[in-house]
Amino acid sequence: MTILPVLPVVIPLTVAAVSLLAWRWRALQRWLGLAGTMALFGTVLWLFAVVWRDGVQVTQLGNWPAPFGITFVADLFSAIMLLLAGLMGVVVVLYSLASISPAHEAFGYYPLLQILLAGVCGAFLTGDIFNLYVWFEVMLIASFVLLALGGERPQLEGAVKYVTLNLISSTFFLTAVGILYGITGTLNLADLSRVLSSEPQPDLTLTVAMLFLVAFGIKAAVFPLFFWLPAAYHTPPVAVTALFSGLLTKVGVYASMRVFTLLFMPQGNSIRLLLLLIAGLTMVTGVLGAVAQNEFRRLLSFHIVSQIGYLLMGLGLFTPPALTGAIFFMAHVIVAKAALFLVSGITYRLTGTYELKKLGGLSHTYPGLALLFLLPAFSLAGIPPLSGFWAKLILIRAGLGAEHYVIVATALAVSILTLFSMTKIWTEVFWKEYPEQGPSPASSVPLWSVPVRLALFFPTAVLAACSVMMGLAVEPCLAVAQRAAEQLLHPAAYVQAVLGRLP
Amino acid sequence: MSTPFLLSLLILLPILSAALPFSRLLRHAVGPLATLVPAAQVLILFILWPDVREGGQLLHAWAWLADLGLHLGLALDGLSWLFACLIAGIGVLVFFYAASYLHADPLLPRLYRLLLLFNGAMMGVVLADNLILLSVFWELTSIASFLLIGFRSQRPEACDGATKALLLTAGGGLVMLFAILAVFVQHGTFDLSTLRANQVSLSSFIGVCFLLAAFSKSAQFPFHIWLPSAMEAPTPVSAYLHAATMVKAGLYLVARLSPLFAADPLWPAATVTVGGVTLVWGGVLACKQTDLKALLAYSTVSQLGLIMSLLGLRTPTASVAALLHIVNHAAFKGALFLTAGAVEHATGTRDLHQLGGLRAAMPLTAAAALLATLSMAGLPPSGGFVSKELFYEAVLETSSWLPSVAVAASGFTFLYSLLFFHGVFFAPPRESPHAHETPVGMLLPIALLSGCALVFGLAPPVAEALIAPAVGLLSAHAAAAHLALWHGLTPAFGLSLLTVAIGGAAFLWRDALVPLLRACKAPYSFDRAYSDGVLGVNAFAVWLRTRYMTGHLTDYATYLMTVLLLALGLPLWWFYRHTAFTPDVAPVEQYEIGLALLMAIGSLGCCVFRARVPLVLSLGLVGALVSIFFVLFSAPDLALTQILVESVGLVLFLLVFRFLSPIARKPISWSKRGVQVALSVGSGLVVALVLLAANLGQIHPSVVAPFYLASSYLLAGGRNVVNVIVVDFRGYDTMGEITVFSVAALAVFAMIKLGSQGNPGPPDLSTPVLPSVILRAIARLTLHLMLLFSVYLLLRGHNAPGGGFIAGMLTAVAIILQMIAFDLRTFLQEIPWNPLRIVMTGLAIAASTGLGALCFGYPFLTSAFGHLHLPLIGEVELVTAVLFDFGVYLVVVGTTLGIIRTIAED
Repeated sequence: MTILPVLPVVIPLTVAAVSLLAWRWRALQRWLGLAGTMALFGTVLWLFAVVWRDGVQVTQLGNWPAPFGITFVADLFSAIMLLLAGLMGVVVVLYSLASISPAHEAFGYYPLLQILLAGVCGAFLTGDIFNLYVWFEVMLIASFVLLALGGERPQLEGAVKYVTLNLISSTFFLTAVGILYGITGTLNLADLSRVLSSEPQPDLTLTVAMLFLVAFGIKAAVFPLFFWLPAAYHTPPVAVTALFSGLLTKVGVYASMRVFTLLFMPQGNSIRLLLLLIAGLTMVTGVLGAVAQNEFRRLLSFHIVSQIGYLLMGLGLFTPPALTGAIFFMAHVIVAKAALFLVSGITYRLTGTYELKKLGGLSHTYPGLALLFLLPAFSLAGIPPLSGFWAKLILIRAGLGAEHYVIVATALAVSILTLFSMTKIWTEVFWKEYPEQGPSPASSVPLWSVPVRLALFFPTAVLAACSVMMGLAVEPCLAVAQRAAEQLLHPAAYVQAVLGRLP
Repeated sequence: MSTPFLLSLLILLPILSAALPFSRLLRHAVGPLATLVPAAQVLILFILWPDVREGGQLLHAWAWLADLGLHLGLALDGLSWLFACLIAGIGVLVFFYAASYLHADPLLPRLYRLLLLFNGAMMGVVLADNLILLSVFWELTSIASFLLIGFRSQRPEACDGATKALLLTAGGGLVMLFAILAVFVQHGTFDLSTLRANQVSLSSFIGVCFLLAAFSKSAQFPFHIWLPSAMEAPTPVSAYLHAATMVKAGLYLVARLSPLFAADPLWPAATVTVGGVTLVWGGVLACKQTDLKALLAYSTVSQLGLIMSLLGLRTPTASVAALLHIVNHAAFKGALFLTAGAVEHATGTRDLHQLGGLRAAMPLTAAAALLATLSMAGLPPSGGFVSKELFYEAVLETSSWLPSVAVAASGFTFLYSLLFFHGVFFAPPRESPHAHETPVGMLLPIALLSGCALVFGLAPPVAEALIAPAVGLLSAHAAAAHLALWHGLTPAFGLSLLTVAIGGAAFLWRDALVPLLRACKAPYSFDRAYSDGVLGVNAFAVWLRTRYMTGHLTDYATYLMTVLLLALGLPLWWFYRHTAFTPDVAPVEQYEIGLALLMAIGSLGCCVFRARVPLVLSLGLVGALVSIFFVLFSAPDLALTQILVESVGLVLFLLVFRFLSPIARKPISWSKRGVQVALSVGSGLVVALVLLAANLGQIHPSVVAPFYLASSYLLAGGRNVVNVIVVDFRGYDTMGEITVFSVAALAVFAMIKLGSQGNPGPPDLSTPVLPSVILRAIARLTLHLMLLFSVYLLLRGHNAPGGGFIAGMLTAVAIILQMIAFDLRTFLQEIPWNPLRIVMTGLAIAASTGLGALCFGYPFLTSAFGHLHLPLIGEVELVTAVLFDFGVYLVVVGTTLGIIRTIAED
């Protein structure tokens, strides 16, 4: 089935194009958006099933054989990431139905969302390093517009920082691609893997690898390159923040994992130690940044950074259990973090503020919302039996197995700090008495209609439930992550599927 | 019913019941219904008793994560059985009590939910055979405790206390998780039963980690600070979690793991020392308290210390004493907490200064409390006396300093016991008009617990029956120990008399002694250390943010460039150390040097100019020179593209500048400027060196480029390889890029329109238009020529320099020229189409050529071609790729037009 790997890009692009042609019919755009993401989710489920059953799926675009044209490849890791992207798409569009202002809708919110999804899916699927760059650009421009849409001053400031620093990343990335092509004469990832595996120029390869690391490091928001993220993520509508938190930085991590497993197998200790160092510093600075915040979304944004550290820890350890852990952690953090952002959005709808000081008492008025916060928050902090516990457990076990005690100790200490800042939100927003000034949430709540309530709470509940289910049904999830990690560590199957011959 | 089922039921029953619809359907029956759960547990434990009484063990494991070495292993032996009995038994009484204590509270269902959740988690802790499972339940008890302490969350103290308790206990849990994983890495199993069967002895380091967890959970010095703060919880919770069960999880852990550290000298030493310090320190602090619950909390700390040190001694007597005291403490401390709750319920206060003489109003409560107090003070005929005697016996068997510590601590225990009882029931009566006897629903649990405290003393075999199955597990030789109230005139009895004498004397002189104790304030407490720690982390975080997260883009860009230099510098240096610097380059011509110098000047201009127009012009200079280089290196397509992009970009910049205020630049310090210059020069140098290195270190002659050259015409029907690559070989890239282009048009449109929605007033288009007639004439003339030429470029693009992108750009330039020459508004009205529509049509055409291939069963974007001869133009390929190129053309034209129109209209 050669068409299948292309569909996750073609579907959202087509939906986007049709929505743009239906520029004036906002209701149509809404339902198209929902139908499109549902179709996307169905497709990626199908793709996942096929990859799980039959192994790596490949499409040679334009029917040009492998190193000459562009190849789309879906291995299990890609399929997992696509599944998560599809899930996030459906959830965010549902949530948007009740939370996005008509002004945003009138200027192409839904088509932009689709284009962003197309970019993300393209990045997860492409088997060509330059094509990856193209999808990064698609993502960047779509996310930039989504960030800036609304045109309020803080939003524009955030968006400008976001786009500038990310364009620097793009420049580095493009330079790296150019140099890599200069050295190897090919852009196809599988072909590159074949050429580079002979390692004739270790130092030169290392230089290029470092350039990729910096470029993807900016995208993934690692220490000390993460500054664009906290500058921008608290400004757009919360549905956008949730989508970004779920997908954008994770594409950076995905790209690093792809490139470092396929092209630059970090057999040398130096890159691995460097990755672990970055991982530790990212965890610590991220969580400390969160501790210093007193605003719901800013606090959560810094946690994105902190959690990226755990993902890099998995990559830096570079053992099968570590990569399994990183993949599991990826799924966990995408789901849990997005759920938290959606909760913050509902809180905002109820009270009109994100400031922790001005919030309070919501656990008495809205016990259900409190539960929806508590589950992913504890999950993020690594409390059993939620998904975060297993994610950290696997990573820490891998760290102990590889005898990297410093990073293990760091990961544990950061867990405590994460718990600390989650309890801070909890006590400030849900426990403490509602501050005197302003109307109390109980009195000012608009009587939301059932569809609005459904559109806000259902997606949030789905994500929270995913986090719980990944914890309770950890066995099958782990089995998938394990097989994906094995595929990453043994790229021969990938290369053979693309090039049609053994490397 | 099978035993594995019963075992799992012990845990599942409470957890599943917690999900019952208490707040809706079962609102009025919540208390009795919830009480049924621990009652059922008691029944189950009774049924299972025969299996464990002879030292047997019930073990069952359900298959789970086999890859990780995990399974759901539950085990019930004497030790687990004892703790499970406490959890279930005291659970029954506390659940019963809470229904009266909080009978009118609307939050009662939530309290029961959390209590049930805790009950299940705590059962899990003592039943788990798998260490990971143990850790899961361990953390769950911390969570339940957190939510219960913060039950009265309107009080800030409750929130703080809950957070403190959670951080310390869950933090301990994380350390334990670390220890558990370390055990697994070393010994390959998570199962306690396997570890025991293999007679594994674990390292001291792992031991310390486990002890840290146990100490934090059981409120041992210096982690004891969370327990007094936890008294914000409703009293039944304090009695259940923070006196009878959860705080004993640490003791359970130590008792459970002791055999695995049999050879480790650190384990007993640390346990005895920390326990001893806690014992004394808790006792001293308890005497200072005026709040009833605080007194009881410190007393609990002290008693837990006692048991901890007994567990550390590991002698047969000590083991028996420890287990007996666990049972005794659960009974008398539970009773006393519930008494404190009853007193508060009756009088509205817990302050010893405001209480007194309640024996008259609450005689039955006083009687029950007396029995419990006797047990706490260690006086006959209570169970507390028996365990205190055993405690003295155990310490007398050991080192010389321990007995004196024991006597001193017991003196304090005696003192605070009397202070408590006397202060509440005997001291001169204070005004408490509403004081009344405790209602039956609350009195019954108090009486039953106090009765237990008495029965354990009067009829030691009852207590023995409880602890006997556990004793054998702790110490091999202790099975024969028989409990008795009267041991005869032993040294231990002497110490008991001494304790009573000391404690009694202290009580007589309490008016002098207690104020003295209260006056002694440590200059620095661990409580302060905790809050200072929290504040310190906060302050450090804020400092870090203000120092490095300045919010200035230039700072962030500086970080990026620094990282780039560091990241590339080192491997580059390695590379050049191993490789001779002999770049294989063509001879450099003089004009090339000149062009490069001009480029450098242009770049410098970008750095030094302050006004926008010269800035953009110098940028344009660089761009133009780049396109000249493209020409020199025989890349006409690239050169054409570059020069057109530069021109359009320049015009757009200038167009936008009309709306912008001048750049306001803050003065930059010289040091910062120096860093920036160094970074700029450095990054330029590094990138140049990397490019040279890439040239030197080429691994592989490309196979891709020769293929393109060879098959561009044969397989794709085009002679212009660049164009064929763009529209065919790598058409998907182009597909993505035109998407980017379209979004950019949308971006400008949306941002400007949405941003200006709030601004009233029509846009100002009255800017003076160039009145040049000649320019107009030329513009009018060139329009058609340029449009014609762009069509030509589009059509021939597949074979000669040109193509959709270049043609589109040229069209855009033509349109811009018109715009400059004519009045904007009239010009825009001349264009009949909506630019966004043009863009969409272009995208649709490009996409449909790709999708068309799918209809013929080929992959996305597969092209087909045939040839056709046209007069004048020559050979034209009927390549689907040309259709794709036409899509690109439309997107480019539409986007440029759209951007210009949006900006102009605004």
